[in-house]
Amino acid sequence: MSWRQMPDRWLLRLSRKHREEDLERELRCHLDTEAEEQRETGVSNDEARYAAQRALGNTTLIKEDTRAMWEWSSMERLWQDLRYAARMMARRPVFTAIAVLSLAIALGANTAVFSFARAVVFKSLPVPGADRLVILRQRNETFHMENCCFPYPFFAELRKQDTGFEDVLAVNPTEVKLTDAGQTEKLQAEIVSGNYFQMLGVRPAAGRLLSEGDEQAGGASHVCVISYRLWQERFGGKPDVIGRRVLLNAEPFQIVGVSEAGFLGAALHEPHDLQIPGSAAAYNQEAGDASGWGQLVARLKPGVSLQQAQARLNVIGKQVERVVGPKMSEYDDFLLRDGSQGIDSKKEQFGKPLLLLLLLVAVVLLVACANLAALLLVRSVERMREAGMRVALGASRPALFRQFLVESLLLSVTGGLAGWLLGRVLIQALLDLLGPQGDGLELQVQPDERLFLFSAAAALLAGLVFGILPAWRAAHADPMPAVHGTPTGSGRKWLVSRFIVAGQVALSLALLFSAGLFAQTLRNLRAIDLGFHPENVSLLHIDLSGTTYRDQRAANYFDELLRRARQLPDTRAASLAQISVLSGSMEMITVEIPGYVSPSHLTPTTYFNTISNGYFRTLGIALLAGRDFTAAESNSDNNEVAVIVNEQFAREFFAGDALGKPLLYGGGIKARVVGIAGTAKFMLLKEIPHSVMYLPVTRKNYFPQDLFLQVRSTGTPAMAISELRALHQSLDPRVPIETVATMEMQIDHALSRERLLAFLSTSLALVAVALAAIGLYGVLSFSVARRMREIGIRMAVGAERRRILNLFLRESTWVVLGGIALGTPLAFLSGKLASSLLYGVRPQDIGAALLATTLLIGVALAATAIPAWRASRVDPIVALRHE
Amino acid sequence: MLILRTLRFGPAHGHQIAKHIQRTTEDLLQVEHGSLYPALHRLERKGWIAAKWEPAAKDLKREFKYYRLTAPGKKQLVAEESKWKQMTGAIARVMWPVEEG
Repeated sequence: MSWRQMPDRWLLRLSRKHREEDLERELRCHLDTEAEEQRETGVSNDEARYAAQRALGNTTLIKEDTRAMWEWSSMERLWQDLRYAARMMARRPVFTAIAVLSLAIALGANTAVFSFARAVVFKSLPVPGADRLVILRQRNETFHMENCCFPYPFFAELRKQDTGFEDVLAVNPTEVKLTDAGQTEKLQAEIVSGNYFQMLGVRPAAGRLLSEGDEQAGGASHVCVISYRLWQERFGGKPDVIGRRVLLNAEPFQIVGVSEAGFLGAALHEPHDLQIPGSAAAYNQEAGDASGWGQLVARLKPGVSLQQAQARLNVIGKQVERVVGPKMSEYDDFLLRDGSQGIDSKKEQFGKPLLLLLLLVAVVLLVACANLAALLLVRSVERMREAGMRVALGASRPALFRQFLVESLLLSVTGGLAGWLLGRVLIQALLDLLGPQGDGLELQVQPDERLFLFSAAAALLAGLVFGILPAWRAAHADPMPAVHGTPTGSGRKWLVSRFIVAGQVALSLALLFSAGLFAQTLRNLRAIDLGFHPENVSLLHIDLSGTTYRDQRAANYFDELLRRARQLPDTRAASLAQISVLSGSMEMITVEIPGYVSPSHLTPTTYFNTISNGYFRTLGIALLAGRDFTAAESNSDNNEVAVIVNEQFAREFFAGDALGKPLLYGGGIKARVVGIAGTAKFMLLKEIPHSVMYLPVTRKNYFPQDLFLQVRSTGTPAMAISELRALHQSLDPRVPIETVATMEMQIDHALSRERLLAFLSTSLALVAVALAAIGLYGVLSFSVARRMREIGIRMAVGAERRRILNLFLRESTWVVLGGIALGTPLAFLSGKLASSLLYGVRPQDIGAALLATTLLIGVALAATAIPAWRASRVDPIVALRHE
Repeated sequence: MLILRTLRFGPAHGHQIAKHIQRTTEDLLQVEHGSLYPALHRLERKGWIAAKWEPAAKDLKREFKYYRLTAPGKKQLVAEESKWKQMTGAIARVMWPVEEG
């Protein structure tokens, strides 16, 4: 094409108008030059002009001929097609609305779910070579868990050894209060080893980052590094922030540098804005703290696989542990986990459900595409006449193909744009649904240009998927029937759209089925016997660790809180506990029971909770034998601690007969069982019955600073919560509230993942079913319209209305049955994929399958009934005159 | 082909091309100048020639649309020339077989 050789003018060439002007000017030039030449031979001005015109010939004709030589440029043609497509869209507002809306829903859902899947599954830390990062863990058989954290001496010693790692860093996330210019705010911070930045490969945006020297200097250095984000948002990006003195938890610190833009700590899903060098000194202060010093992140040497490094670590790590601790058993193997997303990754928890959701929304998109393909096919047949006429008038088949495809693409692009906007709303809605669990993700799921590209690509692809078949059909239109004005199409041409609708039915069935499974899972989890009664219980979580309340003062504070709570008029019972049940947290402790021999080599362990008296009454846990704690007991000097154990504990360690028996816990503390409580769920809803030991909360010389006040009241939940708030205010408003909620809210929170899945899969399934119904309705309606003449003849020769009705019902029955036959294996397959996320329901649950099938048949019947009924109401006279 | 041949000597505008063809064929081929333009635009579309508005060499104030031969145009010219030669040769052999023998 000529414009390729003239890049400087191709833009101008786009406009036909410009070309007209160009030609006009060119011809005028010619005439002028010719006239000049003629004048030079001595003729008069006017005559020269005539001669020139004579020589050139008929200007209008030339222009006409030249124009014929022009080809429409592809852009011009596209513009033409687009305008035509827009006119077609405007002429069928209902069809356009259905198409754009269904695409917007499907594409919006895809965009939103993809943004989460990308954040949780596909993204990695913004540091070079993140794929070689691994996280060190150690199995802890005694407590059936994995140790995440290691003490400082282990870290320091391990770095000296020849492992499969280039380097190892230590990081310990924490919350700090930053005070600057009189303003205090809470920040997520990390206490890190000196090599942290260097190991991750992070560069400074200003000042310097931390070094080994800062680690060696210990607590004396008092320096910190802030994130680029904090620098911009809190300090206005001013260079004077370097060397600035701020308060962290009321201690003076100096900001020495800003890390590069985009870096927010070593946890992709938990942004941290501040790094403080940790040190051996800090560790010594907290010596004896079992939680260890920090999580260890290592970088694999190039060419060393995870398995090789893990094998090597299991040799060297255990040697190091024997020298510097911690004391672990020889069965406690080291494990390396993928560290490309840093620590505290949400991949494990949300990765699988998100990928499943991604699959579900992709299926919904497929259903939406199938729906549009079916409707467009129906329309393309309707428009066969138009297409045929245009072929007869000389339109090229590629031109027709292109034009029909452009119409589909315009629909998909419009739907895509609406979907993009909807997707942004859905992302926010998903974040809200996730609640606190989604907090760290907020930054990672924000729409960006890549997400837009994904969204746009999905829209275009969808347009191609549903547009190609109708376009192909149109391009192969037969001009003859169109010209003759005879009705088009034989029965066979209809098969395609019926197949597509059957496919929609199949996919909808699979979606409905999995939605049924998730709903059933949620119901099962809700119906679990908790072993306690959460109704009317509300809780207030207070953590005094950041305040001036310590030891005896903290004990007094909580005593007073409990006393006042019990005096509230609505209160039926109130108590304190260190762990709130079903919050997902727990503590374990070792126990020794005289006469009990563990079946394995491990020391027996149990869950434990520290509680005040009244706990069982507050939560509604039955006290099966013995007694509750007494207030006096808490302060007694008795060198034998009174404990209450649950039934499971008694059965497991005492063969049921536990009351009054002695035991040792925590490595030698003497205790005696004074009561046996019913077994209640402790940490998770799905847990199997677990042994629990209850210790009295107030003991001499030590008092926890972090407790839950639990109140059973007769008031409404809203009232109970506001009463708890008022109670807290009356005592000391400066003490921060961690949470205030009802027990049922907390259980709901524990079910957030299941709730999310059930809610989303049900909504998606309903959208898919609605689309399938629209598809069925559309295809059948058209079938009725097309066979109007046939119906008229049938009725004229005496067919009953019922027979006509049956004719169409039968037609759709085949489509639906075909879809169900196709969809049943699909549904079971989807159940299998979801099996690890289910509870109490089999992946091939017949009940859910029957429910899904029944619902689908019901909806299909409704979608069929209207056109079929319309067919049976046809007046034969009108029908026969129809053509 | 004649137009392409003309452009071998360098870029020219419509009027020059017309004049050139007229002159070289010694006014034998009295082409209406007008028929030149559809041909030029067709050649341009085929990519054998390219066009650009440029000031005239003599009078810088006036702009002409100059056409010039492109690389594919040159190739086309060579191909057509040899085809033409073959054809005229063949015609010649039919018309005057004796002279050859």
